[in-house]
Amino acid sequence: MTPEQIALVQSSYAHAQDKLPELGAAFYRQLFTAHPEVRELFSTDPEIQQKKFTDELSEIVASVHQLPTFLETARELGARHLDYRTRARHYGAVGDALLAALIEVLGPDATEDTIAAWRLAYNLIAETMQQGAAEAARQRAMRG
Amino acid sequence: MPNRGMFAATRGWAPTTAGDAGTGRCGYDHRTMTTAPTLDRWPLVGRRLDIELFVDALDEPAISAFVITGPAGVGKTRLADECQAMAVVEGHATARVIASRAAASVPLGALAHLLPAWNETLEAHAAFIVALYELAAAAPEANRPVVIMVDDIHLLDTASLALLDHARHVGAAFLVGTRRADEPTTEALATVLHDPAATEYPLAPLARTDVDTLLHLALGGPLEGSAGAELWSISQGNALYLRELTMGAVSSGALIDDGGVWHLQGPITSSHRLRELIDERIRGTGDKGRVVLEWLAAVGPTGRSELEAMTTIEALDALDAAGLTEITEDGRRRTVSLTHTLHGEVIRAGLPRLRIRTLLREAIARVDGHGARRRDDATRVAMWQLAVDGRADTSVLLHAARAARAAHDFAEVERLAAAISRAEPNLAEAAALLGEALYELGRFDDAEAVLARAHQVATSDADRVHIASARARNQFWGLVDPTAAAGTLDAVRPLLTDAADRDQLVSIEASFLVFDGDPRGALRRIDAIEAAPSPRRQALRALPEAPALTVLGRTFDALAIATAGFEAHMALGDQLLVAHPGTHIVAQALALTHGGRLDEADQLAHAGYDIAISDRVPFSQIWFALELGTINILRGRPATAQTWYRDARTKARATGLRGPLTMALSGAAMAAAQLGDVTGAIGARDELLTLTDHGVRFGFLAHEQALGVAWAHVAAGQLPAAHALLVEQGDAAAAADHVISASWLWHDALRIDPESTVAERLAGVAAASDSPLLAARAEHAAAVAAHDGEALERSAATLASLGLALVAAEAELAAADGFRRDGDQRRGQAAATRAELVLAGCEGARTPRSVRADTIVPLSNREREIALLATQGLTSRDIGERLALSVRTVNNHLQRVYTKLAISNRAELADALGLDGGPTP
Repeated sequence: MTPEQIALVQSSYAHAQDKLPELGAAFYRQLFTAHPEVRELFSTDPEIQQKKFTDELSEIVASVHQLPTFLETARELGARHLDYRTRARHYGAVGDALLAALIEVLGPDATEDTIAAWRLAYNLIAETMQQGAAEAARQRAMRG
Repeated sequence: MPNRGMFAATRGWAPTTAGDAGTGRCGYDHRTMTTAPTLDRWPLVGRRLDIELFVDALDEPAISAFVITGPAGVGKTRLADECQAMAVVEGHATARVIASRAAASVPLGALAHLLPAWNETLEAHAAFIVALYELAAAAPEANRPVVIMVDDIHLLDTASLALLDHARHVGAAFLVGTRRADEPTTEALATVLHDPAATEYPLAPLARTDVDTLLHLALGGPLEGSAGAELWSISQGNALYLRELTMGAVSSGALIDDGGVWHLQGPITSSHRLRELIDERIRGTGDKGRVVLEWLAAVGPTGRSELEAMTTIEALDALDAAGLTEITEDGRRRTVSLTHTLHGEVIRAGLPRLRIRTLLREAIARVDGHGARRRDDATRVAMWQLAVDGRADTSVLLHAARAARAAHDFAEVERLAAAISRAEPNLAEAAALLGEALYELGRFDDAEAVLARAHQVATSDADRVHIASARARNQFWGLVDPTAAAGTLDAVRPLLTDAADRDQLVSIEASFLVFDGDPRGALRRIDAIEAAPSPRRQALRALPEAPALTVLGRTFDALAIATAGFEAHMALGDQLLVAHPGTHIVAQALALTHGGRLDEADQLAHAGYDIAISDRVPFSQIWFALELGTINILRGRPATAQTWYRDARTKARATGLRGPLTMALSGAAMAAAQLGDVTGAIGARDELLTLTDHGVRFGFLAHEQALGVAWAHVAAGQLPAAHALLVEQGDAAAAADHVISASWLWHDALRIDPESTVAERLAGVAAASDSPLLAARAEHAAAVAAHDGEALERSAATLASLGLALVAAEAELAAADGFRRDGDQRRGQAAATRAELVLAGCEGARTPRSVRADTIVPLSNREREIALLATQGLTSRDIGERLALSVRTVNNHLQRVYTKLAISNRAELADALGLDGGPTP
């Protein structure tokens, strides 16, 4: 990502601060519409789930410009997703749903540049999370 | 001086054994340190789905082999390693076999380490299976097939392959192989691959987003846009290329880490290893392909039909499909060229000189034989001739040099103009072009030498204007010597006979006056240009007039003049040698910014920046980046401002333009300070002070350099020093008629100390200006001075309507304090809430007055100052030393702060003040 793209992701997210509940709801709606089969992976109350999602997203977005913090947060989150039986293909589906939800919630702020920056940011997050998950899986295997 | 390696830590991604490289610590922090990418192994990116498909295959009982196929460098071995690591996670025993041409000559040589001692080949099968079962039995999940990784399976000897195949069929082994797509497949391997129990897995190069992510993680930080695009364009997602290119660029100094952002500072050249890789790729195209590649490397883009005469159509198509060549269509003509210049460089380096000359002679003979077919054939022949025997057809080359100048390709201008000058030393135009190119390339002393001589040989007025303007520009911007620049122009003016030529020089002189800090002098100077309207005079007058008027606070007039100047300039085409039409856009954006029209300024500056990037004009890129920094700092977006100031700083360093560099450093210090980044602020300030200590005196908006120094003081907790400097420099700016600077400096003084007595002064400059921005600052100051909650609330609304978010939030917080002091808790709370909402969009800015304090009793200035320092991790003793107070006094203040904030210790302080995160390390 370029520094400008990082700033764009953070500023567009800051602009959406008062619309986070909508973002969470839109995300799950988009995800379940495109991939009804993943619905079963979520057992929590949808509202709590949505809040959890935007809380985690907020934490990660806030640290994109500080790599050590970012890596730690994203890897930890990825390791947790190992328990949720999250697979590599799910990460792609989640990315698509997130971008669609952002387009919906940001409205006219969702310019081509903004969405392109988010696409890169999401890839960075997803790759780092999966790194964390793979590492956790390896450590578990070593411990037996 | 780029700070390459200044913060470079030796930590990299720790090399790992099989497993995820992500465990390596990558110590990059935007604010304090970066990591030099001395990486043994890059993180794995973009391959998780591939690994998952492998695991699916491993779990599928009907599948017993997974062969990853692809071109060299795409990442097959790395993926196979990771697959093997996943097999360990799944409870399998694993083994590794490396096939090579050397090992292939010994039957079973590649498997020797897996075989117990055996006597006859017949027994080898049985012995091998037993050994595998023993391995499998010791694995966490007993009796699963042993996963054997075979690197370069196409090189494996037939006996080894047969043995592995047998083990696979009896369920003792699962094969993970890597296979080069361009290598021949033996019959034995073909049999394996055609087996329905084997999956052949074609591995694609990395996608562009993955390349971006990989670079970000491997370099440990963000990468400037053009650098990312360049690395993508050459590597096309080939992981090995990407790594070699990146590491080569880092070690050659082409790719540098500048304050946490990686910038491309020079051309990416080929490392030894990369040359080998490219060589290998080219060899793969066979003789028929190679003929074409050599021709294109020596001669340059060539018509497809001409190439068809040299080789076969299939060979040409194969080169195209391999991504080595590309076709551009121009009307009916199809031209073939090498996809990347780097390939050309490698091929030429491998060709004997004589061979290149032969190819060029042949190319010349072809054009001579057929007659010129293309518009640029004459130029091409002249360039070839130049390469063959150093002879130059100067008129043709001069034409090419002019074209290169229009395309802003100054390296090419230099090459051509230098060749012409060698052939004809007294050709003034060539010397002018050469000097100008040297200036653009940042070689200011060389430029001065060339242009001083060129001045002697100039015979026409057009040449004199061209040379004098280039030389003066080099003296003013490059050598930062305004006196010498004025002298150059003075010496030439009397020699000119035509008023139109003199007007050009007057316009430059007046521009220099503006940029040397004398806007009134500039306005007086342009009176020498006749006011009678003509597009030419209008454009020339506008160049200095618009920025001068903005500095004087007349932003409306400045905008109108710059807009009209731009239109007039565009209508003239390229008649004016003195300036790029984009200069008017810089002036428009400046007028909009200080006229308080920040959204429009932002749009215009962004558009200007993009044009300057695609036109390759670093000078304009720097100005637009500086303006974008200013716009964002005014809007209360210090993080965005910081990226722009850093961009300007890097480009100013790269081009050697020290004047604009001072502005970029001041801005970078200010932005860092407002983000609470003490190290960054002080670093930028010190670099700025070093420059000014070395006599770099840049007059444009010069007093605003104090903003960076003062805000660095603020970050370091020296609020009184910051305040005093801002007031002093505000006064100096006002005395020099720098109205917009005076307003900014005084207003920031007020933001640091609300007791500052600058309200009347701010009202004075606001009255002298047409700018709503200056008026809003004066209104704010008056409200602060009156301690009037309602007036502060109104002022906050005005500031917010102009988009000045951070200052608006500061005003709201002051209003909240005012209301609470008057006992109106409800309005106090409302104002504080509004402030919080506005601050959410301020990218984590932490200025003395934006720090939230939800207290009934507001914090005093001293308490705020001490509390802020304490949140930066300073001990009471440190704070006492900084502020010349006793430790006891500091502690007393802190105790009062804790009581007011209803907290009990330092650890809760940052949170209670609404600051994110803990102290900056």
